[in-house]
Amino acid sequence: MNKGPVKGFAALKRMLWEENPVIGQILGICSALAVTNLVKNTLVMCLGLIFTLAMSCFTVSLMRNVIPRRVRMIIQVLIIAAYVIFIKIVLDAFLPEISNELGPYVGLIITNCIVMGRTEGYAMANKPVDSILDGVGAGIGYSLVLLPIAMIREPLGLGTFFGMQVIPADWTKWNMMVIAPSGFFALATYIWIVRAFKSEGEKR
Amino acid sequence: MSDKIRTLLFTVAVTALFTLLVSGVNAVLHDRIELNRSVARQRVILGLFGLVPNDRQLSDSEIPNMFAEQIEPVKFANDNAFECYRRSNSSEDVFVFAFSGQGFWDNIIGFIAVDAGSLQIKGIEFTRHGETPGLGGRISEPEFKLRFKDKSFATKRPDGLFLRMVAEGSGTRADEIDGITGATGTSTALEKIINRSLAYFNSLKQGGSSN
Repeated sequence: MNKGPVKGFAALKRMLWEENPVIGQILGICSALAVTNLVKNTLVMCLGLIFTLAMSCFTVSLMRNVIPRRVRMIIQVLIIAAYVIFIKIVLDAFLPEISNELGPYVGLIITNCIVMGRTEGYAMANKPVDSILDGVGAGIGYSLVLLPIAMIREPLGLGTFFGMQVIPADWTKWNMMVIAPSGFFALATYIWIVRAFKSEGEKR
Repeated sequence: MSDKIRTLLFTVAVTALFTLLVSGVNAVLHDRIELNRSVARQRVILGLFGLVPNDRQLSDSEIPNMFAEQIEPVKFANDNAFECYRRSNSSEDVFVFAFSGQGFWDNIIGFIAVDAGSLQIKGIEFTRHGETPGLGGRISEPEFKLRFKDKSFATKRPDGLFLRMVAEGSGTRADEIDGITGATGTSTALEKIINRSLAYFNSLKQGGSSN
């Protein structure tokens, strides 16, 4: 892993697969379980997280040389919280229905460990542009896990995809798929499959 | 020492800056957010009066005008804060009023339409709830809301309730509503909320309206 600092698009790319925050580091699990029962909500959540990551990493990176070390984490949380509240306000103003459905989960991006992981682990020590790429990469990596899970949970649980009926109405809905426990099952299965592929690749 | 003071000042300055930015965005968009909320409420109320056409999507900009033209608030002498509406220039005796109460998890909030002449429920909408998705959360499905239509609260049942939630599929009478299998907690909570709200509405109605 230690090949020196990763720069540019390599910082983005490694987050998609090799160091995917959910699969590799098992971060951001709470929101992964909570919002993945509807594809639309998941998509908005992912976009929100990508935005938060990009902006927080950028801001933290800009300020990295002036932030006193002792309070760096407080400052990071403050910056992250400011962007998340910004997203919440914008959603309330322009996409009120989605904001309503997501409820508290947008606010909970603040506590998503991925964001602080990236600001503390990368942005504090790297240039702004690299930090944005790293943040966007981590956000996309997160989305690459959440979206497939949502695409499985929503049709099986509610018979719909993106709110449209895709499975005939006489299909018995798997209520199990909509409630949180199935999030655990789906996520664990997904990580298991992906890791199996990953270790295949590493052996070669 | 000076290092500590610098840290403190830095923290205060950064906090002030970001608070300012967030407050600024909030101030700019506040009116729009309030408008969205009121349009969403008005849309629900119009829908309960049967004024939202099925064949086309009403745009958000049409709602406030339509609401102002067709709906008027009703105030009752005994409770000025009670949110209740009726159609202006209409002879029908239908009222839509707000209700709320503790659900299985979070509060359930919504509006209910009643015909005060025949004492029947005409419709129900839930504007906020936190019931379990796929179980209690099914209360917001159209099929569930239809179960309330034409249910009667003219007389109390022997058990002292106007309406009773019964096992799904077993409701046959006008004072029985099919509950949701697997969501007994939500069904009983809803039964309590509905009965209490209807009783309260009746008592206000008998107390007379102030306009």
